[in-house]
Amino acid sequence: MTFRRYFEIQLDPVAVIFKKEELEGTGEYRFCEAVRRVAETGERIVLNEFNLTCAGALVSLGFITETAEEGETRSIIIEPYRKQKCDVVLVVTNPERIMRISSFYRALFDEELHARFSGENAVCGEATALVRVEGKPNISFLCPGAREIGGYRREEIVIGFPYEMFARMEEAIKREEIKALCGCLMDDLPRDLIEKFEAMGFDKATDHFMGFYNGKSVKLYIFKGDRNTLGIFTSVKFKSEDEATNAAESYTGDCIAIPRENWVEMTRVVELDVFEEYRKPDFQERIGREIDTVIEEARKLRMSVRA
Amino acid sequence: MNRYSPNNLKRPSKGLINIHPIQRGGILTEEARKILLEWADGYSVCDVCLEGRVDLLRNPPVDELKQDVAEFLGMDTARFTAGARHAKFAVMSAFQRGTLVLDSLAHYTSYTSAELNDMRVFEVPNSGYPDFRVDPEMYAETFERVREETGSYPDLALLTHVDYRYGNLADAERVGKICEEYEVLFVLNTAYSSGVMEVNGKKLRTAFIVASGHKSWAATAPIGILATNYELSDRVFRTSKMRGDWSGRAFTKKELAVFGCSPVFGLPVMTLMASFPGVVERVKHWNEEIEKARWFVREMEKIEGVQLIGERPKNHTLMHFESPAFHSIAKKHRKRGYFLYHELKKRGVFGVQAGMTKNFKVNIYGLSWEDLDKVVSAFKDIAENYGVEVED
Repeated sequence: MTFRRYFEIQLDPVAVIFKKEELEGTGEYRFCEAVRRVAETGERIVLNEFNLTCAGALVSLGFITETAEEGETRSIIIEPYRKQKCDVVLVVTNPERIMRISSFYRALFDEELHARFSGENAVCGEATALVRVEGKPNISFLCPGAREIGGYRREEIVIGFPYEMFARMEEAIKREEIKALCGCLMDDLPRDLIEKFEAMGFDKATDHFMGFYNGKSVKLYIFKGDRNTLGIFTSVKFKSEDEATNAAESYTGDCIAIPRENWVEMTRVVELDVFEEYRKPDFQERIGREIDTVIEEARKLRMSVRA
Repeated sequence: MNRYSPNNLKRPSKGLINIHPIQRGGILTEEARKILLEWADGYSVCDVCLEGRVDLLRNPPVDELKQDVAEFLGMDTARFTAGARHAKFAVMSAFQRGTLVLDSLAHYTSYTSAELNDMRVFEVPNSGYPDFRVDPEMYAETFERVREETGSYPDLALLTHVDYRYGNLADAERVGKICEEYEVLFVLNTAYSSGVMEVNGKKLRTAFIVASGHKSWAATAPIGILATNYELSDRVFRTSKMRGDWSGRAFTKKELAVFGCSPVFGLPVMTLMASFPGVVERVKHWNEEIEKARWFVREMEKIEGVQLIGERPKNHTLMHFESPAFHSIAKKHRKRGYFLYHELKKRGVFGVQAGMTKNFKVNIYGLSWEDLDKVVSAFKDIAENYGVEVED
């Protein structure tokens, strides 16, 4: 399974190879135009200082410097990507496919895709030269030259990958490292709210958050309603159901002790609206204090039985 | 094409104890296994089709099976469908553009069936962490909410008898009474209950019972059951009224909601038939299954941090555990979340979803005490090997 087939991309990914020696050029093209042509037709195009017809690309790709001196690049080979070693791999596609690629990318590399673009020197500069220099992928929304002369369709944009990253993605596709999940969304919690709890050491489970807080297993659950309050839970295990029931019944602290067979679920509902409050700077600290209280009450409950 | 060679078509769970949450109730009985080859060809049951509908076949006796299944469920009549999802779709197709109340633990196919039939959906909330119980009284509250918003009570109320997420057994009898009081038709989705435990529609006051043959009736997929009463059968099993404008053709016996003749033509209906006597017998032993489930919970919770979520005590064999200790191991393990899956497989246990460690679901229905002990021992052994404390 190739990258193209996996993401169902209409055009071929394009390999871009920078050369320090001058090779014989093929035709006359703007860089962006050559890339689009190779992606569509599968042909191989070689550009050098003389058959590259875009001045912006000559500078951004390093044929000449901004002060019009000779640059390091003497030729560029543009050809369909067939796993050959290259400098940059360019993918011409639409925003919906970029969305899928970005999701896969995040799952594989554990970082988001970023786009730096200015509408100038786009395929050559933003998607190729910048990617080569910085070793990070970039998304370009093209420039007027690409749109008007380069043959790009209205919905097309370009993403450039460093070769190593692209090869790693193909490897992950081949090995099915990133599994597509069922696609069902189990809640409508904002992503940054989830991240807020993750930053506190909690992982999102199907319906709630779970994690260790000061060494104690703690769960958080948002009670959705008119106010979206936060339930904090930690469990205390007893030897028997009777012991758990007695402990819960005799408990008089600041939490709610709910017996569940031989367990007592120590619970505290924090009276704030999570959705309204979670972006406030002291949210984490406030919740942390509440969690500490629940943990302390759980400890007291356990000690009360031992006493 | 070598990948399709029979030599390469091996089931990943072969020879292992399979505790996959959806698999236990669909394991074929010995009787069903005996008829596999004879009825394996495409339309095998249709050799002597005289009436043009699979549910009317006399040889093999599908027509009789249909009635026996309906009676077994305490209903008047039944049809076989392409899974429980198709049964739900069939019911809702008779209430298009109506309103549906359903529990918030319902399977996605309850929602998509409603969507496909342009129904407006109102959810009954659940209690949230850690029990995730559906309170029957909330059905009454939701009916009132529906009336406030739409001007009338809902057309249908669907309850997931045992939900797929926590294996909670909902109080269907109470919901049935509330539906009766409000004169709302009660749809009970028994995908995880009928076929393994007793379900009686008369007692539960159901208008429709939806069941899954491959999930709980020891049948080969895809097959579901839709049982109802004669009062509603004409509406749900309505027949085609169409006539070709040029040819004049008509299909007067074909029931629309099951695509004219339900697509269960070979092994699905035949394995369900062969297993049926065994199913009738096995539901009588449900209490022993619950005893095993509760024992299993006690043993699993001896592993540090492993805790059952969902209702307690356990009333079903499908269960959901959270396991922060296994999750902590996974975070540092070379195989990440897949470590538990692989470690269990090494010990002859299959079915915990690969990649799941912080919480996982299992179903122990029909396992012998000996196999159950092997499963528990496997989990405990893994825990001990990774330094997680296990009580004696």
